[in-house]
Amino acid sequence: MKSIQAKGALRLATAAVAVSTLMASGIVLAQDSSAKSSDLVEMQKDPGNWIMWGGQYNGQRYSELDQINTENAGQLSPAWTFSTGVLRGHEGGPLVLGDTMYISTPFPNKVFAIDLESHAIKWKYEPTQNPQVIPVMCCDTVNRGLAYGDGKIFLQQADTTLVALDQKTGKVAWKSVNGDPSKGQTATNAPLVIKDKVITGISGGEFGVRGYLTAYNIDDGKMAWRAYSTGPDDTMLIDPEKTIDAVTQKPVGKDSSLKSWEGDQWKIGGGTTWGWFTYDPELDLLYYGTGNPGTWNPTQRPGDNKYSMTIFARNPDTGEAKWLYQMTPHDEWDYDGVNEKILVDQEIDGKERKLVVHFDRNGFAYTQDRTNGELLVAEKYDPSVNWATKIDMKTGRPQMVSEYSTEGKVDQNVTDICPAALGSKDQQPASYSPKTGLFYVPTNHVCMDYEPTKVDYTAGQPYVGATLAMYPGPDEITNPVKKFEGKRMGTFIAYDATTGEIKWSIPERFSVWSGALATAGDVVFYGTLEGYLKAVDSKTGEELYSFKTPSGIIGNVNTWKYNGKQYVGVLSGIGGWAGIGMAAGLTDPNAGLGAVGGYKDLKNYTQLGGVLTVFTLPDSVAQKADASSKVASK
Amino acid sequence: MTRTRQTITAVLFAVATASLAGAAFAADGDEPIVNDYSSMGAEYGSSDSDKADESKASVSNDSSASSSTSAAVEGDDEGNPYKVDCDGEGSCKVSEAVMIGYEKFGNHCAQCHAQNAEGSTFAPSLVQRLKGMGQGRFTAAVAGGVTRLDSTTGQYSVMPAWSENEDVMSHMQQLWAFLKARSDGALPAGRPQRMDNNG
Repeated sequence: MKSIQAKGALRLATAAVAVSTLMASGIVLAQDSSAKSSDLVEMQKDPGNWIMWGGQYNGQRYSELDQINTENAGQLSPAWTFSTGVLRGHEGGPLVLGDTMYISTPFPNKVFAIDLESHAIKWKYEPTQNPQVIPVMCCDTVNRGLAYGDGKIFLQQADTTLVALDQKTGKVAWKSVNGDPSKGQTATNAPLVIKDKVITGISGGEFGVRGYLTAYNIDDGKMAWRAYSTGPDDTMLIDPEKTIDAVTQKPVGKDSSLKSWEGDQWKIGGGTTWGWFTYDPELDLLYYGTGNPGTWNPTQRPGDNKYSMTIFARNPDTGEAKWLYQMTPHDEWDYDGVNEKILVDQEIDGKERKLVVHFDRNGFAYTQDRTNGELLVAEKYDPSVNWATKIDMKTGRPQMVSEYSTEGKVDQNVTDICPAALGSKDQQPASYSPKTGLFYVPTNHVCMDYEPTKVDYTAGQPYVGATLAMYPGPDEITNPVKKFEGKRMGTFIAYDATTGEIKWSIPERFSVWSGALATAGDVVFYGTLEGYLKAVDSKTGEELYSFKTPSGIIGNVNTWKYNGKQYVGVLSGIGGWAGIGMAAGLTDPNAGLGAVGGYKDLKNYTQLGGVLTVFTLPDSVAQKADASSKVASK
Repeated sequence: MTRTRQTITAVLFAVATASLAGAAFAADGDEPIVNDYSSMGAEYGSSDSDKADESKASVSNDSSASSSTSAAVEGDDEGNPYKVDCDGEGSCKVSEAVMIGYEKFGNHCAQCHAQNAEGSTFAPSLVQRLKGMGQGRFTAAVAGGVTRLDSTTGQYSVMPAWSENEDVMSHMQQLWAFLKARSDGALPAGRPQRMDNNG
């Protein structure tokens, strides 16, 4: 049985190689951008469902549901719970389609389909994966959730196998191998279905992996295209004459990546693609970002290291790059550029613009025109960011502060860099409310000492090259809604991407590592590492409701409607990078070695355990809310 | 039916790996591995609180005494592989071996075991695990890796084998020195300083 499966996988791998060879030799495969998931474009508009990680293709994580509002949110309470039976870090969130919920877990990547009426398990899928994939995953064995399309549920397994499961039965429709864990390639991302293709990424930035984004045919799992992040133009699906550099608004020209590396270093150049993907059906463009370049020791890899740390806009049918922009050229701090690219339409300088907004690990929030990448606003979204003073809007490059540069400082300890490698925000996705025009951003407030060291590349082995010490950031905070005693490591903020202003800040003891949710009821939700699910007023940041779930929250808060009631669900389960940074407590350098500042360790607040908690209002309160909103709309 | 078989296969695999590792350790004369999951995920962080470290920091080894050990790594007079000299404020100077061990640990091990070797939600605290662990067993575990299936949770803990990694293998003494200093409570959490004369 096992050997049969292995053979099947081998055959698929061979098929994938064959397809890529065809592509390379210039034979263009017939494009069938049929109606497959134009139904997804329609389906996403129904706020009763939550059918993709971001709620909708735009990644806004906003719901039109308003039964839960600022008046009644205080009366929320848990309706039902579900243990996944897995202890490691639970990122991602539940998908809901009709009367069924779909959730996935960290390794071994179980998938559960749960009946919303009976709360019973409709079907369960658990892949057999070699446990040797576990230590090849840099920061815990997280999985950021599932994708839906064409009657199938898609799971991106840790061992890089992309699996299509029948939505009704959980039976495997096809499997496709996307990488090789023995070379350091693993996967953590949620796939995204666009038309007749499933888009997925690759992890392994700490193992010298050369990153790529891949599209598989939704029918049979055969590779449609693959776009590398570094290397020759054709392998990156960059057209030197057509692909636009967002800063110059001119074509990037020939060999723009190769010229930015010394020798063959692009082959272990990083630029992995483990973040979230968004899509604009009108412009027909797919948006995503790439991760850190090769080793964390910048001195070992001269050049801009293109296209690590870059936002790409690509055609989802062909993979061809329309435009690109590198946020952090020649990274010196591990500020991956993978964070979600949120698509919004807002007015800037009196003009309605199609925008893409992203909160980069490097501490700057970028507002760009999503049609061509033009840089409109780039501001710090945490006042303590210090490695650069600003982004030069003419060159698009950060104005760096030499004191915090780690370049040319092998075996020197560079201290007090903000943010830490975790970034001012990591993968935890922000949300946007079209009602307030504000972004709600879960952020880290952590700084670091960074000591680059020489490192040699061995396939399948960690390729890091730096020793880090991380600790809470300084006390400064913009427009706080309340006071916080002691050292804080997180802030939940409301941010105006048209002006670059932080409207309000909620201080949090630990990094806010949970995906946020904004709703038409003017209630914004997020989770904390201690395990609190919090509901706050979208205008003021005032706390409306708080509930301590069984474990720390690094998952995303999602919402849906079932039988006339609005539900809010979130996975708890402490872990992920937050689990490593916080589990043992961070060292405060100002308090001397061995001491910690005035805060207690996370372990004093929560323990491991994957549990889904679903919240709703009492029936009478929900009915009252519906009645008054009907009156209001009349 | 299928599921049962998979589970059995997995268990057999784990047992096979464990017994292989056991054979390697047996040559060292050390105890076989006793599965202790207290700090492997079910209860991460365990008891290595900073308070404990602080109190022990005062039991620092006296580095002023000259050492005449012939080992590759110079230690102190009590047979420890490290020298640590902490002042009252918790600032510590350490021998060259500990310093290199700290750096190599940060480079290769801290991604899972955390910057102070106190573990994460997915890897054990080495401050705890090294208590009572001999150098032979430590070396075998690093070189050969460890794969364990916790039968109570059905979940794997996997330490990769480092035998092919030259940078790790050629610094095993220094890694041992650093971790032993941490585990013995001689060296508190944080970045230490090199001793002036590398004593």
